[in-house]
Amino acid sequence: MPVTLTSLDDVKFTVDKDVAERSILIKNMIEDVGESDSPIPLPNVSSAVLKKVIEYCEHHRNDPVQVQDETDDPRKRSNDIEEWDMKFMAVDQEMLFEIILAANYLDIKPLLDVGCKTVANIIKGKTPEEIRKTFNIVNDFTPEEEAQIKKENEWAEDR
Amino acid sequence: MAFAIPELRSHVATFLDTKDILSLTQTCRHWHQIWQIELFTVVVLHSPPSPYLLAMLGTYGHHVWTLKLKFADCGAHCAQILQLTPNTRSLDLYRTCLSEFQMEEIVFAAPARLRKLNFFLEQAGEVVRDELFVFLAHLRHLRTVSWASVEAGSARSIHVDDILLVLEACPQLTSLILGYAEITDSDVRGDGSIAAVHGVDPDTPHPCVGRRLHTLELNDCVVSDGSLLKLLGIRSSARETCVTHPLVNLKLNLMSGNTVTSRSVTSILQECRSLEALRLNSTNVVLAHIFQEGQVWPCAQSLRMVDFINKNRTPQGQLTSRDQELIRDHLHSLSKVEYVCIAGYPLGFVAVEEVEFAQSLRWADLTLEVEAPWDYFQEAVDAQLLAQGNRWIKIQAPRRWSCSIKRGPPVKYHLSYDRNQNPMRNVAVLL
Repeated sequence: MPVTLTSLDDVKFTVDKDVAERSILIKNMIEDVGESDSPIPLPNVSSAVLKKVIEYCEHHRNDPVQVQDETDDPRKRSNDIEEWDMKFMAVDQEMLFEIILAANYLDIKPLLDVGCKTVANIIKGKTPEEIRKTFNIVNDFTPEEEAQIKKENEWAEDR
Repeated sequence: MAFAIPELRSHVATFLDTKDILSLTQTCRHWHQIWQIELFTVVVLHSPPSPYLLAMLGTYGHHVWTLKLKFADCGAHCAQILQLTPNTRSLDLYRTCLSEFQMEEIVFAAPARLRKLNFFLEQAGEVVRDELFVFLAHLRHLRTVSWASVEAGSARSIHVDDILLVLEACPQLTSLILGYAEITDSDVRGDGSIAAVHGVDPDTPHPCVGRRLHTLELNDCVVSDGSLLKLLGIRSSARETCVTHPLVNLKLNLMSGNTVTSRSVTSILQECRSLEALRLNSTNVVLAHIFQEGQVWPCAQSLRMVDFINKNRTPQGQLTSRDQELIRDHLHSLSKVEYVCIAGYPLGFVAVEEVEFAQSLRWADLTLEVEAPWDYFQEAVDAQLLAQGNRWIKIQAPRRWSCSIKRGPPVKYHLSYDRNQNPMRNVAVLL
């Protein structure tokens, strides 16, 4: 059964129900409303981003449901990204963050994971200066503040 | 930007190393403010905390999720740090001594949300009974406990009743890993347990009954058959009423337990009907005694892992043809098994020929007796692997008599071996 989704800018997308239900938000909405031809409004997602999200969901429509990772150590997750996902995420920074926000809003955990991993991989191994350049950040620290921050976090450096 | 949303920032941080988060805190004032929080989600200390760090914990301590203390005498500082980190879920203490008073302090300073505890204690003094373990009964929300307490390299003893008391007091405990302990039973040794002093009611149901204890590991532990069966709630005497054991999906690891015998293992295989994994690496359990005639294990439908590596992985005598047939029959009954390891017991092809068990088998580690020249055998295996699109991946072949093969995505595959003028001709082998 097809489902119609309406984006922030009022563009309509018709997709298979099993594709749309990769989003837990949409799945719950369909369950709450029942069988209906009415379009599902997604006021927080633009058409450009929704198009990308649908592309992801169509590619992963047959993936098994992800089990919640209840690891106690929040720093031991793998950064591995599948080849298709890596190509899918090869977008500009603005789109990348829009996809992450949409995945969070639509509750699509695998897409959220791959988006956050992509951002983490951009950051990984970079110096503060390289991070500034990557994210277009202006260094507003005074030299004294910079020295102070290094000192206060010395405890963390020998982990 | 997504970093403005704390949940998303934390999610990104889970994929970053501490070094990367340190770099983020040094980019600008705003990012220092938001990423500094993430730096404190995991706190690992290799030295006693300075007054400056304690002050920082006063500010950021409620963000600490994981606390690992890895310095001598860290037990003495633990309670103070826990008071500053009220949301700690996971606490590790490495290589420290703990007095009873310090343990008590830690238990009462421990946050209600503490779920995971990993203690490796190096106790001093002449006391060989581990009286600290029973304090865990106060931490009622624990889900995972890993506990090793050694004294000058020797094991300390823990009473079965004390373990049962902790299991009873912590209903959410699903993983219990004990290392280097001598598990004693007051019935056997006649020295009353602390639990008995605390008043455990012998008429109450066994704490393992009906619970989801997923993992029980007794690594390098000295445990008698009686103690092991008592711990699992299995009657050891045939005269006693034998209750079907209700432990759900248990993974039991008795690695390097030199005192574990075939008797208790046989009882476990018979009674733990939903046993999911059984690891007997480097124990003295005799394989031929486990694979007995005439009965399929009741847990055959639930076992996903059977791991019977023989001690030192050296050949320990010969299994008879009948033994090997029984092994094959048992393997046939393991319909859900994903991992089979009986390395170290040299099997002839009779044990594995025409085996069609285990649709979901992903790994098998068997020791095969190969009478043909090993090089020739390897070449034949390699050729077959190549011909079948490398669906089997050869991992290692450390000795002439050992071969380990990992299965790729396809669920079932037979590797054929055929050689004229060879006693193993025309057999189909599942490795």
